[in-house]
Amino acid sequence: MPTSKAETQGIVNLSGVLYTDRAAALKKELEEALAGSGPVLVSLSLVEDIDLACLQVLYAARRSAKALGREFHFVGSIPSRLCKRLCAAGFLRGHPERTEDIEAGLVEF
Amino acid sequence: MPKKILIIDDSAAIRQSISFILHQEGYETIEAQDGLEALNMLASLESLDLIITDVNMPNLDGIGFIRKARELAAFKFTPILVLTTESQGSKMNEGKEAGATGWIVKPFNADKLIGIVKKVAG
Amino acid sequence: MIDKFKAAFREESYELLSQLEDTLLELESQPRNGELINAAFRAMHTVKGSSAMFGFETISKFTHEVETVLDQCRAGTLPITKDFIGLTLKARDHLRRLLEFEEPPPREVVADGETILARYRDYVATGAGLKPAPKVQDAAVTGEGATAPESTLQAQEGPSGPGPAAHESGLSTYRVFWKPKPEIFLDGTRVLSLVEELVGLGEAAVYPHTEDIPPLEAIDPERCYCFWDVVLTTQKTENDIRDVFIFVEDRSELRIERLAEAFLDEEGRAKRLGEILVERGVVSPESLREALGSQKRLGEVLVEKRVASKAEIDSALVEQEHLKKVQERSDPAAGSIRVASEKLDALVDLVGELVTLQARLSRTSFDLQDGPLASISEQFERLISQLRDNTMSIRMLPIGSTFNKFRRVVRDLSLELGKEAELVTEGAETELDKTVIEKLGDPLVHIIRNSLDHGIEKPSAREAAGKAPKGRILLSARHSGAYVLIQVADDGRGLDRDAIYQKAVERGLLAPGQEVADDELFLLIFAPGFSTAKVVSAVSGRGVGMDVVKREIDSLGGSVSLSSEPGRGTTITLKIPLTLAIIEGLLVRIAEEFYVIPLSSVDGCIEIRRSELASYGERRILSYRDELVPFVSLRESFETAGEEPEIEQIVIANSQECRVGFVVDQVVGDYQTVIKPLGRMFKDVEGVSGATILGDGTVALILDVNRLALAAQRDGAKRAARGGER
Repeated sequence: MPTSKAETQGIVNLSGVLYTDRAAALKKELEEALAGSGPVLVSLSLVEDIDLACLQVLYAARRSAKALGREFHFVGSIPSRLCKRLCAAGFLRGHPERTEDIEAGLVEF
Repeated sequence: MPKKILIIDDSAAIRQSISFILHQEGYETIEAQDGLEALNMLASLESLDLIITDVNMPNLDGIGFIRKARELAAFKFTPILVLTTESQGSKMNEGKEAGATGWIVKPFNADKLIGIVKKVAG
Repeated sequence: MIDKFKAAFREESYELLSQLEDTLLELESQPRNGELINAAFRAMHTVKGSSAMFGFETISKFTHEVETVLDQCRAGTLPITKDFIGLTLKARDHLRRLLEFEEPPPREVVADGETILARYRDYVATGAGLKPAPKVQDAAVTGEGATAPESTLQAQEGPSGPGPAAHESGLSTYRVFWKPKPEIFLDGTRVLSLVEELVGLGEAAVYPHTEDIPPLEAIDPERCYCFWDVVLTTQKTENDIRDVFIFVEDRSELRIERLAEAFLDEEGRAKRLGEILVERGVVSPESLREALGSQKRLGEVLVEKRVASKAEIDSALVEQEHLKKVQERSDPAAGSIRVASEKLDALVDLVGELVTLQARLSRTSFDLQDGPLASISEQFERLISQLRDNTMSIRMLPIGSTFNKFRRVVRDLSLELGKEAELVTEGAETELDKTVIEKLGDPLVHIIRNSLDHGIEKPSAREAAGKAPKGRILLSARHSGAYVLIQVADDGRGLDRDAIYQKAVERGLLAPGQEVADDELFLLIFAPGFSTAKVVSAVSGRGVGMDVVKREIDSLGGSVSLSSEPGRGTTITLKIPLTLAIIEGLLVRIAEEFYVIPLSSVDGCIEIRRSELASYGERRILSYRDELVPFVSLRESFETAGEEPEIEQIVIANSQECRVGFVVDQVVGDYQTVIKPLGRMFKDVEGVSGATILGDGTVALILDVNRLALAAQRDGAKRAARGGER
């Protein structure tokens, strides 16, 4: 499985193609990350593509984190394919160059 | 990594012409001559980017194949296109109900095929 | 399956290739227009795809290579130069040829294709390594034609670029609402791909609604919670938009609404947020009015009052921003509407009637010597002239639209003739009456062909003469009073004076040894059947052409002039009236009849005593500004009865060839007039080009100065001959 979670910190390394078949596993992983106490860090560097189901799960996780008062951040670089996808579907405005801009740029994230 | 597409049709000519066009577009293809053979192939595959299947085939037809494929966890959300002859509305609906993503109406030209493949498989 | 579709495939390919040609020619003047590059790529791509399917392997392989290069151009890693476009035009022509053969085509045809591909490879090898250029799609509209320095073309958005022409090219803006059903994922549908596809149809502003996404613990990862508001400005139709969602129609809610073309309200402002919200059905007009009463920002008030959600407001703001952007882009055409040309013609007719009636009014008020009436009449006259100018301006179009087709003429013909030439255009934005523009096409093609055939030399000859091997033809248009001057100037060898002279003598247009000025001599090339080409070429042909040009320009009420310098080139100037419908004329009287001489050709008037006139006798030539000018008596020409007055007047007019004087009883004055087509009665009257109705309701004929001048010359020659016999 290309998706893995570092044991102690809430780090979620995502990779490959995040289509609907990965959404359920992604939900589980993010739930585990949120179960800890530290900030949740999600790396998108190795993501090749994403579809709505997984994106919705990321949105949901961020909203839960907010409700719990937990930090939730993207780390690593942003693959251009992913960026293009999110821009075309309206989730991202402009083409952010830094990872932290993705969080700020995502609509109603 | 090139995207991998399974083509299921009992006509070798059609399979080959579809393969030919898709190769030109940089896709990788594998072929099966009916639903049953295809189902057996799925058992040994981890994933596919797209399945294109004919409807009328011996052994296991397209509709039956789609139903079975959707029961497999690895292919629950795999895009599937149905090859229908002419505009058989009923077949399209049957296909959709069984879980197909879309359809290609025969006769089609290469451009249309590529357009639809890109549309559903990205 | 294969054979059955071959015919259809060929049909489709011919169509695509002809579109490709248009695209390439357009691309030549707008090399950075991403949409055009895309279109060229798509055409090549489609031919490639279907040729493979139906067994045309040679075509498929060929198109594959060309497509790869086009793709690099599309990505901006290869420049788009004139050479590249020329090469791709060749490739297009080659494909057309390939389509005529069954597989495999003859070896020599395949070899031709290889030559073209080899040139592409060279091109890639020399042009590669270019940094991706930013795609320029909304460059400033300059309206200037292409002036291409070096071989790489500069981006130039002519009148056909985005902007004013956007509406002409059929851009519409749609509001698309798409809400997939929660179970949409279950059949393998990629939702984001579909939104991307939709956005790819044009220029879009997208607002994804994420408000329904629950927190992580509550989410069903295999259900869809999002929906979209998209505002799309595109050339595509509503059906094209529906096609995006063809597979998910039964699993989603889809609403497509076409927005009115003008996004401005009555006061010329961009659409308000409130308007958009009402249009979208988010808020009712009542609650909008209520909310507008507040001092706070509309969006905040509506959210506070829970009339609208934040997402609804944000989405509407996204639309507003998009509309503003589209609006600004196409600003000159912003408030434009399309009107059937018949309606315009009817309006012009009515204005024409008004002008006529107004002339009658001023005359009547003058005759009555009624002060108040005269004052009304004057005001009326001012208004009418404004109305006339406004109406005429509606019919005006930029001439640049016709310039494009000349490029291909130059390109193809120079190839055919083994010459090198480029067409440079200036003043593409110059406006001219629609009907005039339509009638100008053929004459201009004739002139340009002639310049290439007779003017521009072969590259070797040019180099020998110390000129650049590539010839240059400048096609320019500019306003000059009530006229537009259209010039075709080449930098070729110039007219061959001796050859023309000799030919003129052969044709009996000149007496042997007769002295003639260059200008006059050169104009003879417009005489019927006049051609100095020693060999009849397939191009300029058999001396038809230039006389046709002259005839057509005459029929437009225009004139042709020509200047030429040996070794430096030839310039042909067309002087075309802005409009055909109304002319300024000089009203003259002979006995009880009135005639109108187009003011544009009037040079001056002189008075002459009858006795003095009689002294000229048979020699009807008078001295005017140190020049001998032949004159005719219109009384004689039109066989008018009655006695000449004691003092007659001569109107000196410029015709194409020369000046000519018309003897009339009286010059009444300036007169603005609407031209009416002549009835059958006058059809055969020589020297009359139309009729008009005067203020008092009588009909006046409009003189055809050129014809009359010619007749005068003929007459003069006859008289001279007779005189010589004596």
